[in-house]
Amino acid sequence: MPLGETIFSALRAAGISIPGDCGGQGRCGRCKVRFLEAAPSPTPADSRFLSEEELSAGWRLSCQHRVEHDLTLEVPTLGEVAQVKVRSGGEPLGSLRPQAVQQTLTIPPPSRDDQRADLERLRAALGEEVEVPLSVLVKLPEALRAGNFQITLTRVGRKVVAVEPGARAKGPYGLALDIGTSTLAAYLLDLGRGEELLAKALANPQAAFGADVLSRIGYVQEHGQKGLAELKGRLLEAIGQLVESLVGPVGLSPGEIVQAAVVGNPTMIHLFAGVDPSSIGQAPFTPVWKRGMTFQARELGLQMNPEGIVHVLPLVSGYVGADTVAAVLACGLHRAKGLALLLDLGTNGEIVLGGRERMVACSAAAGPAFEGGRIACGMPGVEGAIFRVELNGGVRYQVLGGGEPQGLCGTGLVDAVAALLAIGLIDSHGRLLPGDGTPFAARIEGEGNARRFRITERKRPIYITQRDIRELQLAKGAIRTGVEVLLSRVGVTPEEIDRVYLAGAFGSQMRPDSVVRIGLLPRELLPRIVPVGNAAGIGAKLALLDSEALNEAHQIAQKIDYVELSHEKDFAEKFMSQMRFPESSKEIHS
Amino acid sequence: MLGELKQAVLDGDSEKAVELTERALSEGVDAGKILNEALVAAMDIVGKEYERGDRYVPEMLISAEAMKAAMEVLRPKLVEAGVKARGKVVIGTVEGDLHDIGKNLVAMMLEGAGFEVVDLGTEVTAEKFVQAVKEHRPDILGMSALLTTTMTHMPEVIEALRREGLRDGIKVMVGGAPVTQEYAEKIGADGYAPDAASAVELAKELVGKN
Repeated sequence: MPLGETIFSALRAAGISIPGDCGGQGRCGRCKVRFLEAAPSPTPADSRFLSEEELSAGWRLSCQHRVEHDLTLEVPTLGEVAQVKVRSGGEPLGSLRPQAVQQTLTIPPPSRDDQRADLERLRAALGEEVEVPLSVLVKLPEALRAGNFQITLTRVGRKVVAVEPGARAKGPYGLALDIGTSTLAAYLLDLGRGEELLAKALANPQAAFGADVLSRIGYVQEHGQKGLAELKGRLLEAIGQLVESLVGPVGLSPGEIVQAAVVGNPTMIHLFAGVDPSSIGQAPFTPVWKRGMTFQARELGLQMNPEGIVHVLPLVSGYVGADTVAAVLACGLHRAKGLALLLDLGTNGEIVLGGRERMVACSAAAGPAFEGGRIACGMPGVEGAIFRVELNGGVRYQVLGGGEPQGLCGTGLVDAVAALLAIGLIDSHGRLLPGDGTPFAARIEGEGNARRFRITERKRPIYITQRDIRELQLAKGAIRTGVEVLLSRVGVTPEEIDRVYLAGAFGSQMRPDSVVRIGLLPRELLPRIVPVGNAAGIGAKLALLDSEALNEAHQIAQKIDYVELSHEKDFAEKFMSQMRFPESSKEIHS
Repeated sequence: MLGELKQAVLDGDSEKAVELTERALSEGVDAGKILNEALVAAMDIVGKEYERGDRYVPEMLISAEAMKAAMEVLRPKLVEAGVKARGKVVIGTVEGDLHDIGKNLVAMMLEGAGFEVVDLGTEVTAEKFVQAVKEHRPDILGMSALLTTTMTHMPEVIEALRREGLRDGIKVMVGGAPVTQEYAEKIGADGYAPDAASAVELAKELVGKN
């Protein structure tokens, strides 16, 4: 790793995903790492985003410090398991034990005394049995002779997926795929070197059929096999585009991808495989299968080597999927000695609580508020969205991409409500008060459900309404109820939790202070909150790079006990009481 | 004392509401008067406050629970005194749907508005709805669904009522997060309400039409 580079860019270059909305400019405060020894003195940006407690524990923003000598850092992205050594020399990181391998062999050519068949000859040179599909067998004689009986085999496990004449120095390549209801994320990995070459994301084109999983299932119910084929087709087409956009810039072709690891929620996984998800849409919400599956690329129609192998990670239930299993894998909950809590928040919030001994999980229906849905000025967390709001002497806000504000995304909504609660302009019942006599009175207008607080004073003002606050109460109430149910299931208090991982685009962008201010999580957990970015995507990458991690994923899925919230006794009462906000101190800042 | 009872319901104080109802009865206050001047009057305010935005679901629910607790005490006396309900409603969530918070709230609000409510619970099949209509002869059948994937059972119930020749005798009202006015019209329901407060208004309107 080159000396003098910032730690942030060095980590990114090394393929370690670390959050950072502003791209390493010290403006978002998300790229924190912990120096395990000799922490440098804090910069102004460090002090702005990190608490005293964090600073003294060695936490710094990785974009603010440079690699000047060998360092040992704790990177929150991968949790406790990822105390990676960042070396200024440069060395591969993490365990690299991929299932996909390339072997170059030199085989004695046939002669009068050695009339063994080509394949027999190859097997003898390998010293083990391999499986050779017809499409590879067809290429074998030519590949052997063109390379003067030097040949490179690409294998995934026992299956030979490609043969080429001579020695091949690069590859093999793998694809990690996270199929989200709204976003598809794909990562191209060099499985020989253990490097991430490129990552791309694309909106899920199925969004045209409805924003949430239920509307997709509804579409299949209504249109039958034709609808199912249509949804699968749209998805595969988009994945094909993603694959093209990944291989193109690095000079590869899709056929050079020989292995894929796929994660996603159960409905997305069913649609990806072309299996009718209708049973997930109704009580008792059962998926068609749960265990991890291995498919041939060609049976799925996935754009890669048709003989390649596709691993679909296991599901836990109809609403806790391979994405959650992958996130657990990435955060290392299954190895943690203590207790950890993992939340992946979206329209459905998946929550896992546990550690090495035991894990429980549930899915809470949060509704669209966290993704900016059903919010007056709501929008997804993309360029133009206000994602930070502060009321400190005046209204301050930050816009994703830095341009003109277009609306309010989920984190902006959470921040705004947290700030209004802190100064007592929203009471614990969720009522937006008129604010008479406060410095913000002029920004509050209207009555009842239409009452609103203006965040921006532009021609087209951006505001938050009483109804928006109600939507957020529903969302946070559902998630917090899920957390409370899991805590009581395991029989522990918040104090006993060592770490809280906030995963997903929305979750990992939230300000921990605001998270506890609105009561999404108990206040005791504040110092233990770690944003982890797309943990599901990281888990999929791990499963490709390390066959042992893939096995761990299977064990994780078997170990997790699923809790169905709607069967929970007193669920309604708990949900209702969790819709309230924590009592605020009602101090008015001026 | 009825003013105090009304306030106890508004405050969501179940214990006090029960105590005051018992006291009113023991002092000989007419059961119908307790119902209308305290319980129904309080729930009417709760509904209005909800519609204005001053109350939200949790605050509506605690008042509804206080009302329901008082109602348990009052109901036998109402029957004794021959006080007639405003109308009878059979209600339930449809097949495959076990989300009942909204349905329970609607049931309580209807009761608080003077309706007699037969709650069939969750995951009610078309067959069970039909059976309950035959048995209870309600003025209104209410159906709730929280999922896009389960609301499709609503037209099945309406069709089953039609097959049994029961459709013309009752009004059908529907609700739940994915349900809309357009959907209600499409499946041939008589009314749709977006929340518990407006469900009460709708029910009053529907029995008026009978």
